[in-house]
Amino acid sequence: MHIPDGFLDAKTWVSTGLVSITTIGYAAKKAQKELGEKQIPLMGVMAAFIFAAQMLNFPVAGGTSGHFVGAALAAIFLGPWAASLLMTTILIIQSLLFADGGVTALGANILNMAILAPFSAYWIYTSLKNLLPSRISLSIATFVASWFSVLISAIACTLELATSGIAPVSLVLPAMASWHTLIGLGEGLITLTVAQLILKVRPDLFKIAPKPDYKILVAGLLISLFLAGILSPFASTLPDGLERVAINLGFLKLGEGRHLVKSPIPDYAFPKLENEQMATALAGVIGTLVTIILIYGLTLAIKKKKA
Amino acid sequence: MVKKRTKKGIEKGGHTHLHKHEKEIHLHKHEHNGIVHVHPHFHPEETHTHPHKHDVTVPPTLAHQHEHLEAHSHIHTYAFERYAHLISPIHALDPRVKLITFIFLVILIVLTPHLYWFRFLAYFCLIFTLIFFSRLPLTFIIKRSLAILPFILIIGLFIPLSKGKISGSYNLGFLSINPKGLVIFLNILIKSWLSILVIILLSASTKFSLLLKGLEHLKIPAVFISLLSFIYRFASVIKDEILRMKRAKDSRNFGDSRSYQLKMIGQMIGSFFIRSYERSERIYQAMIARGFDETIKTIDPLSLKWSDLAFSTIFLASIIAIQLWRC
Repeated sequence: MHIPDGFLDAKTWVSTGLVSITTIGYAAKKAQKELGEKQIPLMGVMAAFIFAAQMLNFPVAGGTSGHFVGAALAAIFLGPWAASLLMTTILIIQSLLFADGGVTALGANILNMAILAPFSAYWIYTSLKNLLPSRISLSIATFVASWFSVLISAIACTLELATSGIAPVSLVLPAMASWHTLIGLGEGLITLTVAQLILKVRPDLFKIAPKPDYKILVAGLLISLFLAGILSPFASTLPDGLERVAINLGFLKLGEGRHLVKSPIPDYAFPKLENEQMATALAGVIGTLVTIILIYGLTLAIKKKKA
Repeated sequence: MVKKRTKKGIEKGGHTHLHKHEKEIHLHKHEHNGIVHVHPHFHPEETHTHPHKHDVTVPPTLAHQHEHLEAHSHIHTYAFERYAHLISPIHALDPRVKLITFIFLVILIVLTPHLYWFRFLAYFCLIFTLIFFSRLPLTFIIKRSLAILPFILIIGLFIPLSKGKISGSYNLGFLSINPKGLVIFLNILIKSWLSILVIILLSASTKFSLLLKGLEHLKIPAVFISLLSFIYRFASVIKDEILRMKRAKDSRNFGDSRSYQLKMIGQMIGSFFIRSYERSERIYQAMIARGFDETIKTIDPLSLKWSDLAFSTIFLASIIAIQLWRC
């Protein structure tokens, strides 16, 4: 899922880069203010641990394998901000030193795996955990949160590639989403086992994470809106993605792309296809939003009942 | 089994790891410049993605003198810095200069409009000139650049499916390849390959400590610098532990149902989570004992040399020349 350089077009990598820099910059500022000096070695060793644990492959289906990501695990135990910083650092090291994921695509990769994954996981975990005051709800929360964190990274990755005009979203999104639904199950089961083990052996570790913060919920909502509002309309320009790229680059390079584009008029030949693709792109995002709103509403309702 | 081990580890507290290391360490003697060195040598891991320095024959260079000073540190050498100790004009550059110019080059490559084949060719020549001067083995760089292949293949699968309005396509039996799809594919292939070459050149020709210092001087927040150095220091230690446990697991005929495998992996990761947490507590105590006060101090500050200025000028001039070169 680490997108290399050259796969994303300028508008996609610049916009995702800006979103990631702002979010991670805020997280770093927050971390420097709030984290005690003890947290630095804790986060550092945890980052090293997740980096190392990502090597463990597990069988998925048909002879292929997925590997553990760990964004949800980090978010559940260290809180979303710390998890975000930790995953960002892992991505920086992977891109700069291991050439795994591009430098210009770093913003997109951070958005997918270090912002969307831990925050959505944390959000789902904290919402579901309180539904029932038992170990079962803790297990369900851990499982769903980590499963979803993988799925949302894959969906975001696909939307970014589709936005760049590489592959038609109507084909890639269902394929990627269904495939990562499977891989996510592996991640979910692993994180669930980890949580159960820690609950047995060191239950006190569940208390390292800071208390839920309403800012996080707002951030989650904003990111979801970003996906729905900014990425999806771009995805609709897919049928002529290449021309779009040329136009964008031409604009950036002060008209250099002029000779290349035969017609700057967008290709409206397939209105049906275009709608279909937009519908598919939106379906995932809207589905995500609806799920999140439902979970949140349910939690609120139950909390009110209790009170 | 894993659970038991974890509980045992906790009972024993922090000492478990130390004993375990001692057991597996072999003393490895070798003669170097007339002096016999004895240094700990871990079991070579078959499944290791990033081989240790001991497995690799380091090319003889002038850097050897300098290198043997650092060869005994506890930090394992990763594959990316196997050749970081060579002496070359590229290795000698200030890490800030290298970071800025190389990342700028990647951005330029990514921003190049498609069909500008000559400009890609010019970048190709520039990159290979840099590689030539860096004295890095070409096979090493090419092998590492294959990391983009999986992505390229996935994208390649979708070329026949991308349907545009351009008439005429290359028909290969049941597949009809759209020239537009082909252009998209070639464009991505060239850009991603050239970019990964630049990044490999950057990481392979710079020592990690210098790269970190460069990033620090470029105002990357201090949190990241300390996290990066922690990953660098401890990832290989933790990875060795994980691989040892994985080997133990594999040798005990691990191959049951999928859910059982996932459960075992989960318990392994869980026990490593706890171990890492406890390790971080010990590290914190060790840091406090050595007077840690939330800042990480380093010696030898960076300073720009005339050669850095010369390199930047030549680099910029060639970049501008490439931009102006009409094709």
